[in-house]
Amino acid sequence: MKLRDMLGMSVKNLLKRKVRTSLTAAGVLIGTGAIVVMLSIGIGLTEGMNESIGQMGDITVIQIYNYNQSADRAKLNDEAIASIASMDQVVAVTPVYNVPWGSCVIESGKYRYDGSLYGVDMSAMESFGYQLENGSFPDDAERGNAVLFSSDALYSFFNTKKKSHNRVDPYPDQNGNIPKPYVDPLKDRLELQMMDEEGKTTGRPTKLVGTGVLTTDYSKTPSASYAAFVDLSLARELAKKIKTNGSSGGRGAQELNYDQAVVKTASVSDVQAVEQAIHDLGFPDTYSMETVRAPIQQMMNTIQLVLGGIGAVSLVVAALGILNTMIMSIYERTREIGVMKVLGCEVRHIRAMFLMEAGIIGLLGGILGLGVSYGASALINFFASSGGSGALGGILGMAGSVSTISVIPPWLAAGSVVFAVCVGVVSGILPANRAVKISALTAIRQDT
Amino acid sequence: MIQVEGIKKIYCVDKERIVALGGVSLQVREGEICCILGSSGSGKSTLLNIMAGLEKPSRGKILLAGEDVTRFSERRWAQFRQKNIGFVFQSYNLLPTLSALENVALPLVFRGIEKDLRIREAAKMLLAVGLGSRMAHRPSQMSGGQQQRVGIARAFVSHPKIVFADEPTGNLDSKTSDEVMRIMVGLARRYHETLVLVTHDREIAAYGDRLLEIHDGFVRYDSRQASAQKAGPLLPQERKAAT
Repeated sequence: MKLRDMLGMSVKNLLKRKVRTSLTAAGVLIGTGAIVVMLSIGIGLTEGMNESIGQMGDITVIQIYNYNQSADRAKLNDEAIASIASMDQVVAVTPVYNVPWGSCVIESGKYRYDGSLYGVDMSAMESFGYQLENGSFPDDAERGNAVLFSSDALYSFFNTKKKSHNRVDPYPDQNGNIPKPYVDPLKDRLELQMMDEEGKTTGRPTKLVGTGVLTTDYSKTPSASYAAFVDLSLARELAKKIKTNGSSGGRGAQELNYDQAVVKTASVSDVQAVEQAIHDLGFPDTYSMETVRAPIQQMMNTIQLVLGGIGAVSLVVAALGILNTMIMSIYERTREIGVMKVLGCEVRHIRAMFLMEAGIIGLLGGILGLGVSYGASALINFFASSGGSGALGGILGMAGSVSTISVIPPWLAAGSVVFAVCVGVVSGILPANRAVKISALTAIRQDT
Repeated sequence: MIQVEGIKKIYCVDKERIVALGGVSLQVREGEICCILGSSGSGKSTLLNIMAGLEKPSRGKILLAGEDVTRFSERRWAQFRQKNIGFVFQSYNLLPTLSALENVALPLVFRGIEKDLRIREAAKMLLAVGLGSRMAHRPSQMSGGQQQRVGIARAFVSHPKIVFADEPTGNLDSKTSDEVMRIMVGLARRYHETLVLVTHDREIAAYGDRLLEIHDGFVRYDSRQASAQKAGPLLPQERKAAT
């Protein structure tokens, strides 16, 4: 028997009992709809949560702190950085060299910047998500003497010739205009100047080139706020020159033991594993948003499980509905099945036809249920964004400032339909086995 | 074409043994139209069911078209039926969801034959039983006689070697019965097919080439043997079974 013929007969049988078929499918519709809507709320809440945590800090970034630098501890040197970089889930890694405050300044003519200065791997900055307000990240040739200021750090330049009123602030004046800072790093000449212990400039200045200005962003590590960044290669030179008692200095470039490093992973789910791997390398002091996110995620998973469970209950009821419908239909068609057997229909084809019937009911209910879910999801989001009071508003508050609390990702849409078909087919197994056992003799009997 | 050897069928109902067939042996030749006559409870239907593979005999052996079908699995039986057996039911047993044409084409569907071909064959068969104008009708839109003619077309559509008919006129009046019998016997003769027919009606039995009478699970009369030799009081297989 051909597949197309079996399918045709199944459809014909379903169409013959339109009311019963549609009522049974409606059961599946409600079940599928319930699961999809419940899960979509769970997914929406999780996404909202990740978004709000993301505002506090990049959730895929791990910070390594090298507090304890005694001799028996692992050194956070270039070798250690390279082995972290070689991990599969790691997208980017950079050590952070915190140039000791007061050891050097950046000057542009009479203007001076003496704020935070970080040495990082500039080629990795883009991967870490630093944004540029204007200009560009330095290319390979420029990197050695490039400097990137955060936009607010430019207001830290002050006039060395004046004792007071020597700064501009980024606040609007009487006319509502925000004054420009003294220095435009893209145009003006910049020089790095070492300082001695008395706070006087010493040695020959190093020429710097400002290739861009970073957008102020507190969530980054190191924070792109009131800070300037130079490349690691330059930072190493600086470290050699700085003769302080600080932990980072005076040991030569080869032995540089960084205070801090940041690692970016491919996705949120990799954070835990990478963090563990870093611990295994001998750096126990790490910090990531995972410490905040993991417990909330766990709670979200529980919520999702409960919501999904509520939906699943209605789908179980729907499955029983299919079972009941199929058994009824087999009772009615006992004679028909007997006749088909006498006419030479193979048992496996009879089974297949009944499974198809059950599967089609599942498919029908699944597709319609998905459609209804999209509608319900849109409705929930509409009320969540416009309402803000009541129960939905409460959930909304939990998810932070995110206005969509029900999200149906493609995998959920596809999965729910496939699942509905599976529920149909599984509910069809028992009735189909019953149908198969019907004797051909029932076709002969006169009492039915 | 059909060879039945020492068939016994015993039912156990509430620890009581009921002998439906006490030991039947017979042979039906190719192209023969064989009528099995008997009153209700004689075992004639049981014999037909066993020959058609709907029931398993308690003892004995059956050969259909040269194949020993006694130990066939359910699947082998289904495939064997598709090619070799047609069946006409007393209560027509047409599928109510299908049109006359689709009902006739059903055995060809089970054989996996392409739609175009099976529709052509089914239409040809419906024309042969005189229902050319009723092809799209549902069974519920047809009279008993018409339904049985559809049933006959369905039995013959795959040109099986053997057609079994179980009281084909049991639900019909005598005029329609006559019509149906003529069509059925006509088709069997035209395609040179073996037809085995069970009935309790002596007039219907007269359409056949050969008459077998069954009583209490034994063949009491066989027109072929009767013409060859005037039989004694007991047939050999009866004597054997009685001991």
